[in-house]
Amino acid sequence: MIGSLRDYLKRRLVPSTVIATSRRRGPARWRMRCRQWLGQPLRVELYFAFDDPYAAIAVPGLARLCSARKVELRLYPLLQRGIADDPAADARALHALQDATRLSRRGGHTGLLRSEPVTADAVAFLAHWCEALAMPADRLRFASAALEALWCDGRSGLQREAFAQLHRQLTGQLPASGDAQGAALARNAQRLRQRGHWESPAACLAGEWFFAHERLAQIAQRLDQYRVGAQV
Amino acid sequence: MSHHHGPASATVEFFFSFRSPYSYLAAARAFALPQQYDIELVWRGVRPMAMRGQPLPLAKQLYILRDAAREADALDLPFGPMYDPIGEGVWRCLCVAEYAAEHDRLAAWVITAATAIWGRGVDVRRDDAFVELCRTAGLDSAACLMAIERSDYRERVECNTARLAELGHWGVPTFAFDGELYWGQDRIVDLEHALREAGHLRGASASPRRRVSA
Repeated sequence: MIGSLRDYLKRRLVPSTVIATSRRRGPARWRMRCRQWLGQPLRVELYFAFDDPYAAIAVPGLARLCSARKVELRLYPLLQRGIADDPAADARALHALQDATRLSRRGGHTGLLRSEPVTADAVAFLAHWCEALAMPADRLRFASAALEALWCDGRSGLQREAFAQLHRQLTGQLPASGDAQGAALARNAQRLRQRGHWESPAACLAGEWFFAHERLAQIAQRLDQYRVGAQV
Repeated sequence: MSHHHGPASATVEFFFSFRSPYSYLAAARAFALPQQYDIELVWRGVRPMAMRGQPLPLAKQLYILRDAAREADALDLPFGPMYDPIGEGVWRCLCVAEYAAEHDRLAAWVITAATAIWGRGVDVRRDDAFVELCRTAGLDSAACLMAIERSDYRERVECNTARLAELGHWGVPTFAFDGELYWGQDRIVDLEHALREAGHLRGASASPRRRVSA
């Protein structure tokens, strides 16, 4: 009897309730309306990793989308992401390259030119430099350009000096020295997990998660719903 | 109808799990592909990730349910209440899929069973509900109850699961065409682009033929 009840809860009631509650947008719409009444802009948080080719689609795509709607975009670079001890991790990395190329082309771009996955360690310095930028606009400019250079520019290798030059051009400052942002980057990963996600590129809008590289249209639609709601 | 041979040049392999909501969302469009493109769609029903050692943390389970609900709404497909068929429910559906493929009712069965699981909350482990689904799909319910015991059907499922791993993939729904893999119900558009690029779009005068095999 207890086993049957547990089975019913686990197989039907809990997942069906999760589905049903996910469709209730009223509380989120109310929170967004309150933010706007208080003069606070709508905000999208994006958690991303430089070693993730999907980030090369998500960051510029979300930046365009938020800029067009005057929505604040906060970037949280990650060093740690994914599922611990995932046996499919290597296959995922390979597939992401091919899939991200197709997504990029579908969006009217040239596609990714890098043909091999990049390790998190190899590009950790980019996450440190990005996290060290205090101004959100600088952070966004650098992240977009670095991801473009890393994944979409066939001429770019992984040399620090090339990215440091990019950093100077875009922000007018030298990149942060060393790996001083380790604690802040760990907090980003912790914040991602505590808020209910595990992977890059994850966008959070009013508590709702989206894989940003493949759900840009849905994020735009949700933003428009919230803005329409606020004007009523 | 072919059984578990390697794909010919104009085949699309369709890897599907009854426990995957995204597989459910892909099913109708997948089975419609041979009407629009000159291809053979090869059915590959596989064991769910959770029944082949792939970790599925809670955050991912929740995300999948919520995202699939959004996508189902966009596709105007029923989603929720659901009943997780993991275990024997999955095996029943997979074995009957193999039987249905032999009787030209594969699409009807897959869509009927998946809609019941993900859109109506039907427990496919219950004989009464299961028999009703078989009838709805135009299948002989007594034969279906025998099919779920057939070891050769289970072996086919194991072969399909091994085939997915051999291709270097882990998730569903996945389509394999011309050496490339398309993972996700929202990647059918990319698959269709590749099919058009490869010249497989049917002409307006082409005669529709049944082109689904197991």
